[in-house]
Amino acid sequence: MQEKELIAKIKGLKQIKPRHNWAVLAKARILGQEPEEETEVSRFFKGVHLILRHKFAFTSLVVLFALTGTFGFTQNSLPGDFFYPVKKATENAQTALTPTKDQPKRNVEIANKRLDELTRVAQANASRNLEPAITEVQASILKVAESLKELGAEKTKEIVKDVKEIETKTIRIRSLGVEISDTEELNSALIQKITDQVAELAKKDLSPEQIAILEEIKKLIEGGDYAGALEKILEINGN
Amino acid sequence: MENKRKEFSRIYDQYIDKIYRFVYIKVNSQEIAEDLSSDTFLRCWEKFRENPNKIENPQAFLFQIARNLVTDYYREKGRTKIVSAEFVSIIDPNNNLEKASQISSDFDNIKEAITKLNGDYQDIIIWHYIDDLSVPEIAKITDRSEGAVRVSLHRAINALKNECNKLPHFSS
Repeated sequence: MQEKELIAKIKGLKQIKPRHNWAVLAKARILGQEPEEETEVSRFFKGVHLILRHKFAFTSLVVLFALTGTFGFTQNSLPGDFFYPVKKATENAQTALTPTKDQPKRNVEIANKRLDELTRVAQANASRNLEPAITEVQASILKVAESLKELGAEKTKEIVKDVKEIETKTIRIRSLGVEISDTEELNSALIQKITDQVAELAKKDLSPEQIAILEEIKKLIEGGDYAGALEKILEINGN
Repeated sequence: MENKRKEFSRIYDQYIDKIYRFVYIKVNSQEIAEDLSSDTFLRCWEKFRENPNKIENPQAFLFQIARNLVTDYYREKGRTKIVSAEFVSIIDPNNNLEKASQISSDFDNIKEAITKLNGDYQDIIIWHYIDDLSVPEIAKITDRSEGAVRVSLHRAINALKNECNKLPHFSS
């Protein structure tokens, strides 16, 4: 083999690169925060997990958690942690007790919780928890998108502020180097709501102030802040 | 302290790809490469944090740490080289013709050939041909004369040629 050819093949190895998410998290770990210290509560709970192998005890505890909702131990667990299923089971039990009309609001609350968890994972460089946390976030955002499609203007107005929070947290997580997909469904649902509201507005005479707000809304849409745009347009429409 | 963080962050961004690639080619495992690369920068940061001026040449310093960590890794594992499972299908003489005809890409072949070289030759090939380090830069990392580096480079490429020629189905 000619030396020139060999060198060309060697240079082909330049394509080897580290995973982007790993590189970002590794940097954050090296330069950033210290990992959370183990607390007495978490050490105690590690010992208790042996008891939870018994299904009966597990079921009883889930029912107890659902009723009291005050067991702080599991509230700190993250996706991928041993006790995270207990936390989820508690949440699901509480969701089951939520009236149907309030389910969309509940879904938005849960999505925000998932985003908080993912933020903690990203900041702590907990690579073991990263993929489960991302999966949880994506699933919860899809649920919000589905709920939003069914909602009327009045109910949409109730939750739009919390939906804005989802967008803000998503941007923050992306700035930490973590990619979240499946937000397109949520954006589509928001855009549909905006379209519906614009159709309503078109039937009305608008004041100069309302027209000025429409310009702001246009800028928000161009900037991708669909929840912010929806909030403003709901206000103009008097919902 | 914030200025040091910012400065080191810039160094990290500048060299993370090179350090990772250097380690990965030598250990051929993503997980181990991530661990060792992370350790490399952590050790560098610890020195940098004490006194940034102590590190005149961050690139050279990082490669020296990485090289030592890879050496320690092999010493600890009690072996001199790792051959990944993906290479076995290339070099396994018991493969039948049908399997042998499933030719691995040049990418895998050249990677495998490099791992068969001695450590110094591996380093010099990665630094010069993949990371585009000049002879003077390599001399600084290895604390050798430029002349010695040039000789090593020449010998390394010849050794690699020989290894490549031993590989079946390596396209030429």
